[in-house]
Amino acid sequence: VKLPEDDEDGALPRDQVLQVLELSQVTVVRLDDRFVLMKDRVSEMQIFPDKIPRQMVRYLARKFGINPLHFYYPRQLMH
Amino acid sequence: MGNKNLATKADEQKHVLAVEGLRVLITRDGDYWFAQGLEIDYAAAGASLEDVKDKFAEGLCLSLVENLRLYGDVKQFVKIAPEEEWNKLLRGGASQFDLSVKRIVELPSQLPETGLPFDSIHFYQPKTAASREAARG
Repeated sequence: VKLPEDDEDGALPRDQVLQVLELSQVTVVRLDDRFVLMKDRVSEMQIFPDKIPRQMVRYLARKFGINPLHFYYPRQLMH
Repeated sequence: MGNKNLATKADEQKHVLAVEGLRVLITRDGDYWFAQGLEIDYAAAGASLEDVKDKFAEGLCLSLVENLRLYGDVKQFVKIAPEEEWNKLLRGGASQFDLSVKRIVELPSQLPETGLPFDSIHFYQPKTAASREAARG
């Protein structure tokens, strides 16, 4: 995954990650500081920090069948 | 894993879930920490070593409860993490780091008695990450 130049460690803002999850047909339900993530029969609860580190982004991509690149270039999903 | 780590206690009105001996790999990732379960493919991120342990334990218990509420079982959730994911983390020089954590979760009484969580969770992390955290004090 080619990372954005201004974020060398690959951590992404939480809102950006949540947006990509939703654009990828993952249902996101916010309960205070917790997030329920659901897609098909996969469901889990997450308590995210403000920024999501690279390995966590890759885990979410793998778990919900999303191309990891989409988290770093969400515009690809909007077109 | 045959769910040997998972145990359930039930009384007249509630179920208490407990999990024992779940192994977790922890690694540093930039300014953050990442934890990946082995016997259960669940992961969490945190701002510090203690934070990621707390978020992992809390999120795992809540996820188990959520799956019981939604589906009546946890068959889909309790799956072993892919071996390549373990290896990727272990190649970073993982060494054992043990931690005992207790999380008790109450469930609605109508749920089946095939429940879960944990009495203790064993964490594993790279030595380098552990020493860096220790240096931070």
